[in-house]
Amino acid sequence: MTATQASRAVVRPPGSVPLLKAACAWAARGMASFGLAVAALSLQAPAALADNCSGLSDCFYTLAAALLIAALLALLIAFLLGTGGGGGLVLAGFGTMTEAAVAASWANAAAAAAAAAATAAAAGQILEMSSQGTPGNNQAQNRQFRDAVREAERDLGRKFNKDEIRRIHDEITGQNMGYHEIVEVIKGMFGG
Amino acid sequence: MTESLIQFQWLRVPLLTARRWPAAGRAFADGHYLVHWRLLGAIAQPCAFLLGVLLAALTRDVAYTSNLVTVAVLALVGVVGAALGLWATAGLGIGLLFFADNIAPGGSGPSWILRGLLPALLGFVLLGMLTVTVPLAMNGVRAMVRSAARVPQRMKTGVEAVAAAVSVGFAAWVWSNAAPLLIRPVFVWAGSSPTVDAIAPLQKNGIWLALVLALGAAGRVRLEQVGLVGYAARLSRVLSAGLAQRSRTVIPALASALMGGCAMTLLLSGLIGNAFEALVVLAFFVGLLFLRRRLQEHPPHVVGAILRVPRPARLAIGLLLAYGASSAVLSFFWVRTQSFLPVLVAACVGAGVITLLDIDRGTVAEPTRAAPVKEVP
Repeated sequence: MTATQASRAVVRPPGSVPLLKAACAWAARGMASFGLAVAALSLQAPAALADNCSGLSDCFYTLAAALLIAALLALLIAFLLGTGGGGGLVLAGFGTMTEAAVAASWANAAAAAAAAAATAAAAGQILEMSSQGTPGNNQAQNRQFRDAVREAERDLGRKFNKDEIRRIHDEITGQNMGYHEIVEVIKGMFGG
Repeated sequence: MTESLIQFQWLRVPLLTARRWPAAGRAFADGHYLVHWRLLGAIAQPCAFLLGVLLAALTRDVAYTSNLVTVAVLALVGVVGAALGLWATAGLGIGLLFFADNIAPGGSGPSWILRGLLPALLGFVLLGMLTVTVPLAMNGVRAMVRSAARVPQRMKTGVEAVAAAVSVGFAAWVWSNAAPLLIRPVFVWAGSSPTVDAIAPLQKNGIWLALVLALGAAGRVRLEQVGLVGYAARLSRVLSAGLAQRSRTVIPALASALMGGCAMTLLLSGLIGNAFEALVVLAFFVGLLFLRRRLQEHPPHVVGAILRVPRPARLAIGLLLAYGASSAVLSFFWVRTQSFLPVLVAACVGAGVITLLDIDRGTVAEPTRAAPVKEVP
C-alpha cells in the first residue's frame, strides 16, 4: 500500500469509552507522585541563580556552571544532528532516512543522552561544590558579589578557587559594603 | 462529520506530509490514539491551536519564557501528542504576532522582519523543540523499550512508563537550561538586552518544568494503552504502514549540509557576537555534516576500525574528549571575555566530537523499496 492508498483507507470506529474514569485514576496517581517529588525537591539546596544573561558573568556564576551549560548545549546539538531532523523538524537530513534508519538514530541519540547525563551530573556536582561560597539567598546580593569577584579576577588576571571565594565571602559578610568597596577589598586580599 | 475530521487530521495530513518530510509526518500523526474517544480525536487539534492563540492573547509577550505556566501548558499538550504540541505552538506564534506589542516596537518593513519577525520565529522554533521534538524523542525511547528483548514482557509497561518519564524529564531539563541562551535573539536582534523576567523563571524553576512533564509522560503512556485499541489500533496500523514509506525528497549531500548548517547557526545565534563568528559557526556545521555524510557513505579504513568499537565505548570516549576540550576552552577564556564565545566554542567542539564518534553506517539509507503492507480490515 502506498502512502496515498493508506491515506484513503477508511477505518470504522466502534463506540466511545469513558475517558473521565481513566483520567481521574491517573490524575490521582499523578498527584501522589507529584507530592513525593515535591517533598524530595524541597530538600534540595538552592542553585546558583542567574541574572538576565546579557553577558557571560550575568549567566554563569562559576566556571562549572558554564561548563554544565556548554555540555548540555553540545548534547542538544549532537541530538539534533544525530536524529538527522527526525526530532528537530528543521534540520538537515530529512527526506533521506528510512524508518529503520530513523529508529537506529533514535537509539544513538538515546545512548548519547544517557551517557551525557553522566557528564552533566558531574558538572552539576562541581557546580554545587563551587557554589558553597555564595552569600545568602538574596539574588541581588549574589549578583553584586559575583560581579565584584569577576571584576577582581579580571584585574588580577587569574581565577579564584573555592577556598579563596569562601575567604572573600567571610571577609565581606556583615560589612554592608558597596560594589567597588568589595572589589578593592578582594584586590587588597590577593595582592592587587 | 466527526469521522471526516478524524480521517483528515490523523490520517491524510500525516501520510501526505510524510511523503515529502517523514519527520513532519510523524509529528502530525503523534497523538492519534485520542481517536479512541471520537469527539476528542476530532476536536483535539483545532482546540490545541485555539489554546495557543488564547495563551498568546493572555500573555502578549513574545518572550514566552517569562511565563513558565504558558510554557508548561504547551509542553504538556505536546506530551499528550506531538501533533497537538505543534498546533498549540503554531497558535501561540500566530497569536503573538497579532497580540504581542514587543516585537521590534517602532520598526517597520524589512527592519521589522529582521529585528522582530525573524527572531520571534526562531523563538517559536525553540519552543517547538520542547512541544514537538521532545515527545517524538520520548516515542523513540519507548519504541526501544518495547523492542528490548531483555525486558520481561510483564514489566514492559512499567519500564516503558519510567523510560518515557525519564527521557522527557531529562530532555525538558536540558531545554530549560539551554533556552535562556537560545532565546536571546528576541532581545539582542532588536537592539535591547534580555530581561530578568524572561530568563530567570526557566533557570530557577526548570527542574519543576521537567518534573511536571515527566509525570505527564508517564500519564501519556497509560492513556495510550487505554486508547490504542479497536478503531484507534487499526488507525495506528494504517499510519505505521504509511509512515514507513521512503520519502520522495532526495537532497544532495552538500545541500543537506548547508541547510543543516544554516539551521544550527540560526539556532545558536543567541550566542554569536558578530557576522564573522556566524560565518565560522556556519562553516563548522556545514563541514561537520558534510564530513559525517561522507564518512558514512565511504568510510576509510581508520573509520571502519573505529566503527568496530562498540557504540557505548565510542560515546564514552567522545564525551570524555568533549568534556576535556570544553573545560580547556572555558578555562582559557573565563577571565578574558564577557561574550558567550567560550560557551559557543565549547558546545560546538563537544557536539562535533560526539557527532563524529557516533557515526553509524546505517544512518544513511540505501535506495530500497518499501515492504508491502496488508490492507486494513
